[in-house]
Amino acid sequence: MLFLLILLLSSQNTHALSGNVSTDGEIGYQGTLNQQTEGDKTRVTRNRPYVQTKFKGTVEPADQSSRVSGNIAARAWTDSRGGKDKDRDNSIEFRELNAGYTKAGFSGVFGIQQIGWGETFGLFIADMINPRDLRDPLFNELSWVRVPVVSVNLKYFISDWNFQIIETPIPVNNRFPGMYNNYKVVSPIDFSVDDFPKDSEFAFRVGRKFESGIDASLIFFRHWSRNPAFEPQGAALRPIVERVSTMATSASQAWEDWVLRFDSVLHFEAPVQFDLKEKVIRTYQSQSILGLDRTFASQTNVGGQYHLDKWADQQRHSLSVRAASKFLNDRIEPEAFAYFGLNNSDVWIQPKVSWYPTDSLTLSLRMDMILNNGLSSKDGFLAPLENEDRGMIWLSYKL
Amino acid sequence: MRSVLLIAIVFLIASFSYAEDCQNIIKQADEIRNPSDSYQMSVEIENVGDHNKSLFDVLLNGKDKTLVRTLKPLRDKGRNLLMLKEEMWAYVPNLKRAVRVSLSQKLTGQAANGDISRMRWSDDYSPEFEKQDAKQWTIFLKSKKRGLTYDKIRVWIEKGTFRPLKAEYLTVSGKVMKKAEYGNFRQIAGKVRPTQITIQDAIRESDKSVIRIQEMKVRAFPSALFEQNNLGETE
Repeated sequence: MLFLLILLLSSQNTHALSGNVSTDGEIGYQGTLNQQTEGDKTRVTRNRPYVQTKFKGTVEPADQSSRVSGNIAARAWTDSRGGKDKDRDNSIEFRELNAGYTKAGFSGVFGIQQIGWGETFGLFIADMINPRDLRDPLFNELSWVRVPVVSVNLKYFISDWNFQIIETPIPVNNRFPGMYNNYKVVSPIDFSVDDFPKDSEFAFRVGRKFESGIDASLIFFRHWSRNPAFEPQGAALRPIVERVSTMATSASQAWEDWVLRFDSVLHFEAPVQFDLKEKVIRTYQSQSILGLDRTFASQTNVGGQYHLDKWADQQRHSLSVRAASKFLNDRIEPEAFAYFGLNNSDVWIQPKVSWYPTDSLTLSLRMDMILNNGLSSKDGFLAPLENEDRGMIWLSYKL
Repeated sequence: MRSVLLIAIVFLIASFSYAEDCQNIIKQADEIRNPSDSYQMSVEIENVGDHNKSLFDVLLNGKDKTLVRTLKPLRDKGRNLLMLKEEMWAYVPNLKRAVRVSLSQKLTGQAANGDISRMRWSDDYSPEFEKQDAKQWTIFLKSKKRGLTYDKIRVWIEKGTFRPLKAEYLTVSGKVMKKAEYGNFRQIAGKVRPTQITIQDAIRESDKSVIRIQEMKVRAFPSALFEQNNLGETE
């Protein structure tokens, strides 16, 4: 594909082409220890050395009016958690394998890719294009939990407007844990090339930067349901995966030290289930987050978000805050995220500190504490994870 | 009465041409600082004291579009900044998307984003003569719009060459916040330009950053590279 695009480019311009290749790499280790507060049981949930690499090549004609790019990014890891089951997973996968073409206001990418949408932190409700790896529910690092998909991603920018069309010909399911709440989880439906284009996912986004500074987008996404919902199948659970239409908006505005952000998604007739004991219902489900950030002169960033989840006749209100700063010549970066249910039981506290002893080496320590705030008998979405705290160490070295 | 009117008209014309001269000097100084077309430069910023060095690939397109690609330190590689007029986005490689950031986000050390983005004094500020001697003019610049990195600037420009020599960056209340010195003038991108800017905190003078322009070339870009929803392409 890249070769064809280069041919296309060279056929348009007889002058010499110029090119550039860049490489990146990272080796690292992630270790997590979960402790059940009831029963005081401790287990290793992640023991993962990894390596990842990325190559990017760009080719331009002499007049530099366009460019062709190619990206290859791959990650390999092995995870040996021990325990009575001697759990061990291995993975090698392409995180990116795509070719792109950019000319004037047009940009197109075809191949394995990740597409990020949304304005929020902590919970990424508008980031819907890629399915998620749900095997580690508290691990919300998007670069690890997004499942890359083969897509055509076309963007066109004209004046203050921007348009984006995304087509994923063969959908990919979320990755589910082998066991959930002591039930075996069986595979959801399989997608195959034979069902193209019937099963394919399609998204359209139109955005505008207004003179006032507001940057707003309207999104339509016809896709397979992403939010986890299960139905019993014998003694196991089967994830429900159904066709869903989603409308979403995403907007931001900045004033001096302040940034206001807003994401909202509305799923029509989506399978919804918040408790395994409950039957799955098909209903509209909306999620909205309104956030405000402030950057201080010391470069400390503080942000707060209000969350509203609605489905059928239910409403869930929550707040989240995040603060981050850097000290000692930017070598130490403490950070904290907290999520608190206002009419539900959720509390999620995530303190984190990163140390940068060199320009390439990073050591991060992080805790995830899931608690019950005792304010409501209504469960929050974190209720299944209550009474399980987690500590994480993450060491990485950039090459 | 007629003579008073005549004097007033002469004074008005004189002050008008004086102001125009002032505008012209600032415009000429802008031409020395930046090529007028789209261009790309490689910029190293050293924070004196902690010896931290950062390397940026800076792409400037038209009057008000700047893309700052972070190359070093390696841990921040890919964390690119896009400035469109007075709005700013930061691309976060882990998120694979751009997030809106406030304009007060620093680049590194004493260097603000406006220090390496296209900050055209003649477009963004109203100039006023303060004083002059045989070698230099001192011109006071007041921002014409909100959201600029610096509200007020006092700049010293060399007569004859229009080279900026030094500057003071002031707060809205007129307090000197930072001082800058332009140096290491050499032939780059078709003109003799300053390739080193030393910026220091006005109070803590040891807090100092040195901006070194290593390379500068005039070139064209596809406009799609300067879009917040396309920053992944610049990673």
